[in-house]
Amino acid sequence: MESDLIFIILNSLTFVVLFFLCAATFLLYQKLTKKQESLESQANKILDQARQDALNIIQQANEKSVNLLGESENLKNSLNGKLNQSISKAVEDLTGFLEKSALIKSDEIKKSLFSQFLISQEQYSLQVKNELDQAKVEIEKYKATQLENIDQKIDQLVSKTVQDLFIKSLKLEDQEEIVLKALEKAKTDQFFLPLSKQKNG
Amino acid sequence: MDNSQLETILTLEQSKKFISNLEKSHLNGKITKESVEKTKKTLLSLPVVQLNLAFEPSQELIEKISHWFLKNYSQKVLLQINSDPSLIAGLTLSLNGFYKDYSLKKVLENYSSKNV
Repeated sequence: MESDLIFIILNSLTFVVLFFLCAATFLLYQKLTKKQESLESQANKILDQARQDALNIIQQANEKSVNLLGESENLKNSLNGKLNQSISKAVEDLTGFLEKSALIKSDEIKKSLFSQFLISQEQYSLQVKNELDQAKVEIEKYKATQLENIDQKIDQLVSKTVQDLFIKSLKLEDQEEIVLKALEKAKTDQFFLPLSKQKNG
Repeated sequence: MDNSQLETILTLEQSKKFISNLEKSHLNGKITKESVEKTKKTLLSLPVVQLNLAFEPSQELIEKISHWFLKNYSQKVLLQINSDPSLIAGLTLSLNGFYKDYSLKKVLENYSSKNV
């Protein structure tokens, strides 16, 4: 009985202890939660401030860049104007110089070109004449050669035709008669004179 | 010289005729070595006339030509006859190193050269 009582007392004590422990834990949790919320709030504030600062910096940078661009544009316009003036002046100076030089040299150049043109024209005319003469000679030569060839071919053709004609048209009796007449002609020409001399000798 | 040797330069008919003439030319009709030598000597003493004709002459024409020489020069001649169709007609003659062209080919050549 006594042991049961002790057990009950111990259990009750244990329960009480646990209760306090739970309560303490709950209180601690609440405290920590509040602290976390506080810290988060502070962090948010810092972040908001930083964001705001960044925006300010960006805005200032933009303003400065716009100012710089404006200044650079002005500078560019100013430099362009000066450059154009310088170029115009240089061009005017150079044109004047060239005009003066051209006036001085133009007569000499004209004379030189004209004389060169005359020389070239004479040389060209001479060359053309020579080539023309040479071409004429070659054409005449070619013409003569071709005419000679044609004459020879015609002659050969006529001879061959006449030969064929005679060979076909002459009978054996005609051939024999021509041979005997040729002997008579040779006798008239005294071709056989050595026979007479031989006989007499 | 036997018949076969003669046939290398004469036709069979010409060979027979040659031998026949040779036999006739001897009184007793016998051909002896002496008679052949005599005939050879006679032939070698004859003048040789070379004739180029445009055609192969018949035996009849050869005899006519031979007779022509006998008639006109009272002399026998040896005829050396060749044929050359390019002459067309007529003949060329050679005697003792002299040459004469009586061919139609020559006439045409002369005519052609005069007209060029």
